[in-house]
Amino acid sequence: MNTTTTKAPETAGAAKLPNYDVAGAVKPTNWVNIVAWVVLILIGISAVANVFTNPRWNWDVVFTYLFDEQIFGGLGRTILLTFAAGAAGLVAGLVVGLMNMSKSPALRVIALAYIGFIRAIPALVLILVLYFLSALFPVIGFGLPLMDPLISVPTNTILSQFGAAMLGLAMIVAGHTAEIIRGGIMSVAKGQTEAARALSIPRGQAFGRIVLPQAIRVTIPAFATELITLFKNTSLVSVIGYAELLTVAQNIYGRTYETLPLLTVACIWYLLLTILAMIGQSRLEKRFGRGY
Amino acid sequence: MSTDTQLLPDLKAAISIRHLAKSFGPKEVLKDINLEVKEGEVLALIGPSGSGKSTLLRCMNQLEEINGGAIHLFGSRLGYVEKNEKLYQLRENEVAQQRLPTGMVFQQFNLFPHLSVFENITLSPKLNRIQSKAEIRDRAMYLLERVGMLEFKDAYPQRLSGGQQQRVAIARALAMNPKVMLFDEPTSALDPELVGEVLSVMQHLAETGMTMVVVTHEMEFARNVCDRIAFMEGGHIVEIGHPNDLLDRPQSSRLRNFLAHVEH
Repeated sequence: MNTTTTKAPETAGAAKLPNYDVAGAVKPTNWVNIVAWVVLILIGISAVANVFTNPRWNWDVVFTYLFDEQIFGGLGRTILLTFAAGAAGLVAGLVVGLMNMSKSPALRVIALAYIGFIRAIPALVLILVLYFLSALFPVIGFGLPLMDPLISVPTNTILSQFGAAMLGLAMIVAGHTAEIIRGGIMSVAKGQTEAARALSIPRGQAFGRIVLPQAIRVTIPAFATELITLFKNTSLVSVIGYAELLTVAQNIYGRTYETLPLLTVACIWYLLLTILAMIGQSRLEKRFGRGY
Repeated sequence: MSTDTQLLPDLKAAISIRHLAKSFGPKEVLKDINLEVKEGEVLALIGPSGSGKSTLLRCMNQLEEINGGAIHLFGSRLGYVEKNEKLYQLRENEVAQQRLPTGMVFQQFNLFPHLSVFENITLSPKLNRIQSKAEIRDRAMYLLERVGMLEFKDAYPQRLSGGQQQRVAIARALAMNPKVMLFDEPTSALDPELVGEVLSVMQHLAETGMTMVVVTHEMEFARNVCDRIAFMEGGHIVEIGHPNDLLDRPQSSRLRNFLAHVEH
């Protein structure tokens, strides 16, 4: 284009031409945004005011228990349960997800049955059933059907409070993970596997080095959601009395009747650790987002 | 294997194809294909879309399973082994070993987006341990230089233009020291101004004596660079011969028809 058109012509005596440059133009007013800001500020003010003026928050009680040793113990067990169930669930979920995509119909049936089972059973019910499983099977044996087991263990040794809690949560994570993995793998272009085959890259390494890293990239948000959900779902195991964060808080307010301050304590820790997890998520996304 | 109509494979050829049949479900896409590619030869496969030329190319490195006939690569049978007069299909890792002498370049490049240009080129040589680490590195640098992409060795594929990606893809295939290079419409996904840079890399490769099979719509390339052209339609090789004979004196009405459509 002709560059002189951006400048006002300097012909002597010509009337001043309207602005050609859009840089100084007035943009339309975004009323929705302004209203949203106003509402946000009003809610913020009233929330902060309430926190400071409503004595029933009992902030002194909250701060007494926020760094309480029992609470820390519960928090530690919550974190332990999250990591143990999360790790076991991710590994098992990867296996189930791959079984679900296998060429073998038998493996696919097992995977589908498992995923269906996990979807159908509420988490709370699964944890309760596992904890009371000894009523149905007092002893767990390993061996061939209809023969004396080679090894047998009393059910309650394995399915202790921690055992039942961890197994139940891990089973749920595995069921969800299997589907997340399948979605991630399906999202990787078919040409990637073909290029790997054409380059004689062995199948396992093609999966580990080429397909999986690309699948992980798209599944990080879903996995982060899954693990954060798991972190909060650990509170479900209070029904079988494993002393994680919520159980400890409940035990304390059961004695002192300071119900809401202790629930506030639990919420503050859940919130802080969730924020930490979200920071971890965004780091992971950067790490696996290289090249995009 | 003893009837008079059965042709014996040419075990001296780089690629020898006998009575090849391939279907996708009920649809026959390749019908009784017989073809030789000699060592050092550059063969173009041309034909309308759906004629089976890409499928034929993909059969040559076993990206497709064949339904009949036999393909021999430098005298060894692809995909099957004969034991006690019975034919056994090979496992995927044995097939992978058979693919080592063939390199392939795809229409959509299929570079690995999460790996840098250099990592794309060195991944398979490293995993297959075809050379020492230092040799793999040196060869990658040499190949990048040859395709004019050395300055981009640390870039990620999606930052590159299509022509640059395809040149990297060629270098990646060459890094495995293939004896045969297969090109599946290597310039069809490129903007017109980028086609030339890829074709010139391929022409240089042909001049080094590489055996090449190229599925292409670039008639100038087929005429000037290729030793022979095979024209396919409806799953058959309709005509095959020297470029000048085929392009200037087409024998079949189908080829005349096709040429009339592509040359204008």
